[in-house]
Amino acid sequence: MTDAGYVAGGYGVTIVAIGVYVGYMWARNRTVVRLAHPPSRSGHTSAGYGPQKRDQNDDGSPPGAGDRIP
Amino acid sequence: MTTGSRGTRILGVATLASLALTAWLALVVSPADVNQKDAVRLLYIHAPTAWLAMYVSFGVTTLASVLYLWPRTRSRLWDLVAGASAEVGVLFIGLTLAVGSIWGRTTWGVWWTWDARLTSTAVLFVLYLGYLAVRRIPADPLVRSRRAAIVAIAAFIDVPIVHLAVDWWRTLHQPATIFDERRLLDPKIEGTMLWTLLLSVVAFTLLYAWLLIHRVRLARLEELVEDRALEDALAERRAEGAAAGAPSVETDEHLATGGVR
Repeated sequence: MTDAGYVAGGYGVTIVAIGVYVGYMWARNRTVVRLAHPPSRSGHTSAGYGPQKRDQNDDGSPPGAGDRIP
Repeated sequence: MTTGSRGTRILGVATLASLALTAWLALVVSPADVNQKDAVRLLYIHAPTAWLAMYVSFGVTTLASVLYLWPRTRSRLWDLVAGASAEVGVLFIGLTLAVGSIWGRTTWGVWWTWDARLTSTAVLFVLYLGYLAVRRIPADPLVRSRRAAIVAIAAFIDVPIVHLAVDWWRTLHQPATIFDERRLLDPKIEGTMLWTLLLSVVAFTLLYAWLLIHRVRLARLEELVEDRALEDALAERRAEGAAAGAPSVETDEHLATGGVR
């Protein structure tokens, strides 16, 4: 391999390594955002933390009924 | 909810611009070396990443760890800064070893040799990988942070060994070019090569700052989300116990121990 090939390899490794690390941080940030704003059980996206507060469930039962963590 | 801000965006643009300028100077403007030929262009990555990893990243990790252990300055933030800086430092020291190995192949004819400078740098890489592993061991957050801070301070002992390895032992690796205490104002490099090297140090320092800020903010967000999720789960279980009229002591105890008896 020529010197230019080694130089290209060195710069390529650097760009890929930094790119992978930035991508890793970006993916973790996406995960945090998803955990902070989980979709409610009725399919609605919550604006805050946890399921969205509603007056009644989809079947008309009062809030909380049938909504227990197993 | 993001780790970005106006400040980090400005810093990011400055980082990209300085890295692009460094690449142009290093690959186009700067001449080839008489002895090393084009391989000298690899040193514009190798030297700044080594400098940043050893003295800046691991230096910040050590300082933040000391501040965390010191009762008067103890703050959760110092622990996060220490962990984030070590993570960026491991990235940079890994790059130092990889690019240095490529440079060694084209200049010395070998990818690796058990030279004192190279070996002590590899030990440094493994030490800080171990530090990051210690941070991931499940434990009480306070115990884990204190344990990690002690490991960080112990690991930093290798940094002066790496720095002085070229003086203490007969090594294949060349002695310091810029940070030679005896020739600090008269370095053995000049002209475009010197300016390119100095600019690359600035560019990689900006990159370090950008990565560190984002990493600390990300760690902070992750902790907030974990705390909020735990609070929500506890509140839900308490409400459930109250609604059923059953004593919730066992449930609370189960949650408090993380389900582990």
